[in-house]
Amino acid sequence: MILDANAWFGHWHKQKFYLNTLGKLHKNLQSAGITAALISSTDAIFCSDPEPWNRELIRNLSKYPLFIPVPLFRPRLENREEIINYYSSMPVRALKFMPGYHAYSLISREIETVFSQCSEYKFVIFIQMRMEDERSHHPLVKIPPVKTDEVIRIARKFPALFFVCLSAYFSEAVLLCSKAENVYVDISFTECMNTVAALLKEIPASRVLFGSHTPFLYTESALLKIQYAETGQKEKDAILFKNACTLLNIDNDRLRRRTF
Amino acid sequence: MNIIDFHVHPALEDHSCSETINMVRLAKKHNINRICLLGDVLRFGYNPSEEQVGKINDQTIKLVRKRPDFFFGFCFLNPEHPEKFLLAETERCFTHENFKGIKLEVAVNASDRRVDKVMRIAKRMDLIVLHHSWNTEIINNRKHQSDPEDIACLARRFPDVKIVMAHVTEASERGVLAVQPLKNVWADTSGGQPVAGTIEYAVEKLGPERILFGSDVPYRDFSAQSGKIYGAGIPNHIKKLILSKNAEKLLGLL
Repeated sequence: MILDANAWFGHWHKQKFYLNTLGKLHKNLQSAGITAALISSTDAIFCSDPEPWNRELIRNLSKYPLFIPVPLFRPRLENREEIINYYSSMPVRALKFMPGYHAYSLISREIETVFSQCSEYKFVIFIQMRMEDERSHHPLVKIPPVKTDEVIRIARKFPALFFVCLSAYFSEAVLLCSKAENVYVDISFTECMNTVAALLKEIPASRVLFGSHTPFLYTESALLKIQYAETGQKEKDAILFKNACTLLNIDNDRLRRRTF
Repeated sequence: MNIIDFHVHPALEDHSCSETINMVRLAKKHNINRICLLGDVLRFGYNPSEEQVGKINDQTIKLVRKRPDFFFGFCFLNPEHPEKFLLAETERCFTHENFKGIKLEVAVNASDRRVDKVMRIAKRMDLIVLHHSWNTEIINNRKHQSDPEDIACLARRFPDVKIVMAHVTEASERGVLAVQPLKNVWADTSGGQPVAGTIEYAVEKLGPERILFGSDVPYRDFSAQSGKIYGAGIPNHIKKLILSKNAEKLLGLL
């Protein structure tokens, strides 16, 4: 079984997605052997209110049992409390934060208030470190990556919350996991020779999730990192689905039957 | 399938060759049977001295001699150096078997006339030139970084020299279009994130026979980089061309 912690659907200003319908995306992930994928809307990223896009995506996912929605959340919106309450009734409680794209620091009273609320409802906090390699940005759309020291500080401040940092580079992933015990990373952007074995020399397998960043990146690239990983099956299973299932409170049977 | 990786950098400080042995082991696991070694080209920064270039090539020579069944060598040069040195260094490398071409990195932009000294040698000796390239719209360091348009400029000046433009997946669509009409330019797929759609676009615009698989190991992973080819929405016979046949033809193995 594979749970992909990092999938997207929608449009992007500088990349033509071949997987441009939910049907194509579903088929691609399914044929790659992925059992479930946490998915967010790219269209929501640049909107000052991401909610219409979040809700549209959730509505459209009903035909595709493989997907688990992760709504994008902007913590500076006035109706943030209402939104947190709304999503607290979802079977899988996860919210995605994008401090880089939404231009805020993780170190602020506002964020602390939001994370306190998230703690109450036991949300898992996804932090998108970047969407693309900074050297590939559109020259007029340069978005800074999320600062690792801010993630570490806020994660330490909320030890009961789980933070999943998506699309971190190798060195960032190592730093994040070694400085805060409640931080997890995915493998989509970590890369060096023998990536997974090298990563597991630095951080335990229990802190690593499978993430492909499809459709931005080729799904196969993430899959092959695991397929060729020089580590035991126990560690591979932890990365492929067990760690994500534990964090999101999904048991194996539910994952197999895709009842989210 | 006899997969050839056109873009690998050995580590200069690997005196015992243990890292290289490990690299070969990992490559074989991925069914990669031959590798083009380009040298540890950034070990001494952007503008290495003659002595430093010599050290980098010494290591490539050593590794190619050690595993002639596995490695092809590329002679690393800095176009800032005098023609006499460039020629002597090229001839020194090519006294050894399995050297196939010249590697140029970031010392001088490809469109700079100083590169012509190297290109004249390549033309005279019928050598492939593999040149670093990156989309400079964002990294903004064109003194050193060669944009695909700079590669195109070089290719127009030397239409008889076979040029491999590195990192096509980082060239952007604009970069692919820049070299599209130039039949003496091939493109390798090495480096960068495995951005979906880039291989399909390169195949469509350059044709399937001008694309070569490369990884950029050890900065990158054989797995993630080969995943670009395996994951691309292109027919299997084109994947075989990219992974193997195109390189075999260009390296004169067929």
